[in-house]
Amino acid sequence: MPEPILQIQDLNVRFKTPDGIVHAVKGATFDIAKGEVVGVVGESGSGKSQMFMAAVGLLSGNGEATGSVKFKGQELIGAPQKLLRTIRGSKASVIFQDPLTSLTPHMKVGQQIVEILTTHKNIGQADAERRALDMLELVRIPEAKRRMQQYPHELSGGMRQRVMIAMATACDPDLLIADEPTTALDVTVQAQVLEIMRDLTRELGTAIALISHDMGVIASMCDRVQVMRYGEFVEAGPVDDIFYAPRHDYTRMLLDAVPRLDQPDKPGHPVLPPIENWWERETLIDVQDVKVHFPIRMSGGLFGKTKPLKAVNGVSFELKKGETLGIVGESGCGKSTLARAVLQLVEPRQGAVVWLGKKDLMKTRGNELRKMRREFQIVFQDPLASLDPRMPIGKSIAEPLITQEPHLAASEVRDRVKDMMKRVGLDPAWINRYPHEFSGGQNQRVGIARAMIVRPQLVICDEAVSALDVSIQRQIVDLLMKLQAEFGMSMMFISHDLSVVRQISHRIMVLYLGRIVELADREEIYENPLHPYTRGLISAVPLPDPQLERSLTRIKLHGDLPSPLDSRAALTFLKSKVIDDPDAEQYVPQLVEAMPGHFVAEHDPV
Amino acid sequence: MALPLSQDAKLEAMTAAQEVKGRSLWQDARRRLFRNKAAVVSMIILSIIVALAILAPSLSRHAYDAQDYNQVGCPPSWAIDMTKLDDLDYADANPEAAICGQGIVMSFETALADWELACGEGASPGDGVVCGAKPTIDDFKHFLGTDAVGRDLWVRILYGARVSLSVGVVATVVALFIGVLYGATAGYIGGRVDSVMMRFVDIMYALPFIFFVIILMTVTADIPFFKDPFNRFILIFAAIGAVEWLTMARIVRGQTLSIRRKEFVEAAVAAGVSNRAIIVRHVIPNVIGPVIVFVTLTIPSIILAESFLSFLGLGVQEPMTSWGVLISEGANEMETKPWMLIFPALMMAVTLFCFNFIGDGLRDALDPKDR
Repeated sequence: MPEPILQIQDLNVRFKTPDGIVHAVKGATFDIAKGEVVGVVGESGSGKSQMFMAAVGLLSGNGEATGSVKFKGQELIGAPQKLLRTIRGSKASVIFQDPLTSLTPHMKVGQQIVEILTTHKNIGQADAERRALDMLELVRIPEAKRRMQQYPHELSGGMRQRVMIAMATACDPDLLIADEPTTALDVTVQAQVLEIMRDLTRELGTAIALISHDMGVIASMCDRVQVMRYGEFVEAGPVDDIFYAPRHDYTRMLLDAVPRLDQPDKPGHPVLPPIENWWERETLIDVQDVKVHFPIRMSGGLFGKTKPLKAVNGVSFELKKGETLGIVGESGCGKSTLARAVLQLVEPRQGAVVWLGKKDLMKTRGNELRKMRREFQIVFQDPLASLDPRMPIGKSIAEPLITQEPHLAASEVRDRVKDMMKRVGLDPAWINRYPHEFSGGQNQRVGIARAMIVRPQLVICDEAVSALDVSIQRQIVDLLMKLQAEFGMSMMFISHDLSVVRQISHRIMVLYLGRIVELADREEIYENPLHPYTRGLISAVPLPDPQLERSLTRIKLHGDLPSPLDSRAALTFLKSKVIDDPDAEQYVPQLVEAMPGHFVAEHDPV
Repeated sequence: MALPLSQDAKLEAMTAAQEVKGRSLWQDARRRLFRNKAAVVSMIILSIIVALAILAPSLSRHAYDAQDYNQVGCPPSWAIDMTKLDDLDYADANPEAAICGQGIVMSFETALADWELACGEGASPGDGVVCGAKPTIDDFKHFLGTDAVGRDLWVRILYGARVSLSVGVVATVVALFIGVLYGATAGYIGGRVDSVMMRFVDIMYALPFIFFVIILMTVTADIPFFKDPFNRFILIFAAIGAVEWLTMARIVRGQTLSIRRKEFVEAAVAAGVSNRAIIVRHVIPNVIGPVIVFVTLTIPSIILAESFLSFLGLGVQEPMTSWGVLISEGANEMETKPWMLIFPALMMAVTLFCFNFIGDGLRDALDPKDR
């Protein structure tokens, strides 16, 4: 066994909070050897991040670490700040989750890398700049020379995270602590970033401590895995053992909760009942050529000029009664805007949303629209932000009910609220509690109860499970499927997570820059994707299966999403028709029915 | 048939049920506030000052405008106010304290034992006993001294507190009223209306505040209606309030804008809740926090503004007084009668400190990021 880079012995972390002492890490012990990738998995609040923050002396002021952390034989707990600073910058660097907040906004990215090099490496300005350029090229940033002169806000999320990696590896660290490095990124970008990190270990022998809640990422990256719960390791071992022969119940539960793209209907969970006779069913909504164009003010001229940002650019689909339509796509593809356009929550919108073949919602206004709203409700992404912090949850759940059915007596309202709370798995006695007293999963149940209390015929879930831990995610998905079986409502399930969408949806629609690129049955789209974008998207999803991951060759999509303001962007997959002028009216790729029920946008052969 | 309950009443009725009590953000904030020592001490001191100001007339025998011609410009002391001796009851047979020729108070027994010490050399028992009654020390002292025309400074400071504090509170209420209404309207309607309304605020900001008030005060100085001290008082409130609402409007507008974009407001819109109900139920309760903080920080700035106006001679007129007037007078006599400056200034500084500490405490307590 090679000599360990990092040795953690009986590490304890405690935080002093107004509510007493929180014991965040309880006697953690483990090693990381040279060139090894060790994954630390656990749900939020399990103390996995704090363990490493304590190791490199970055605990917040009210935290205290005891025990021993040895970095190449050197004790770090209680070490002077000066020593910790040298180690942090050059020998053990950290990559944080949010790439925007971890870069200084007022400094050019090149300068930020140069600063680290001159501080820690004792080299001159010119050498440092050359090295910074090399680093940016190493993490495959296109046009690195130009990027050096840009500020962080000019770069996309994936680009920023690559800059972070370049910064973290600039001084050839022996250890890279990656704290959820890809959680904030889209799947295709995540695949690229993981690839870069993998190359770094292979080429430079850097050891990586990968903190993640995503079993897929862990499976594709790690040699060994530590499973953490409530500040303790419950299981540790080589990645294959953890995934194929988990010993601890918690590990088993975690693995069971992970959605798998290749196994949509896992045993032990509600199975999606198929929609029979799709064509004969009554259409709930018929969305026809919906467009949402936001005017964006560009600089230039005295008052500037406006350019339309085509967030949703001509989307048409039908949703049958009792059906769930999954909507996937990367950030900025317009999926949330589409949801809000269907719900009449965003201006300006064009097109038609025909409700039950009779009424066009786009033309309904004022009181009539407010009355109609009981039929379509929404569940939001951030469970805490979507509840009024100053209202007890009972009031939040009751609000749609008293608005839509003003004749109900107070006692009836209370009974209905309590009944709904029971159905979504909340204790009715909590009716007077406030959102901040609950966990994310419980708050999301409140959000679902609020949406369901008026018995709507359509519920739109806008990334409703994206902010939750996997185990909670699974529970919420199960709950939604149970409620659908009970009430028979239709759903539009929006997510960037293809595996979750596959579990819950009958049909799946892939959006790319405001347009549908593919729309098909859920089996069909995963087994026989026709559009190159869909293929890339599916291939980029890491599977929680280490052996499969190693054997897989991925279809790669290069680069980032182009700017939706550039009219050429929409034709990324149909280059033969593109007019090379960012402002020109471009050809609009049409949706073709390749097979019955399987629509795909026109694209050039790959 | 019973009247149908309003929506809000129904929501209230829901929480009245006997269920597990939740811990609201307000309760959390109160707990945090009471853990803040500086804020709690400030609240105690401030309530003492307010109580003193309210009880001012019954705290002393001196009237705020009564001149004591024998004690003009008298420094702070515990000595007896000689002018009051006429009122004393000489008939008391068994006095407990004696007041001797030199104005010294001592026990009657001590005075009897050593008459010379008490009343000067060569004095014999009975000589020079000015009084045999039971004067208590509180009755006679000018313990913070008197001003240049012999008015008791302590009483004047308390009366000044009445004026300064009420100007502070009333002008803040005026600012609050205009500011919240204006800011919430601009923020909620948004778009072009918001731009126009806020540009107007910007223009108002550009006018120098003091200049504006000075002109107002000078112009109205000759109008008979405003010569009446009470009307003049109102004018000060109005003048200061009319300027202070600008910042309030900006704060409220900013808050309203950010709350309007919150998902829980969107959820209410999606549920079909009317605009009015959204403002009342969701926007206002969430705006209140920062507004309260701003209010506690506005009161001291208005007290300062008032004293500045009075310092320039534009504020409260004699014989009515405020802290600004007192400080102004004190500053004139600073070299010979420093107490006339020190005590009012000290009082005002303590009050402003208290308000600022409370404001800081409230901000920490109400800031949701602290959680």
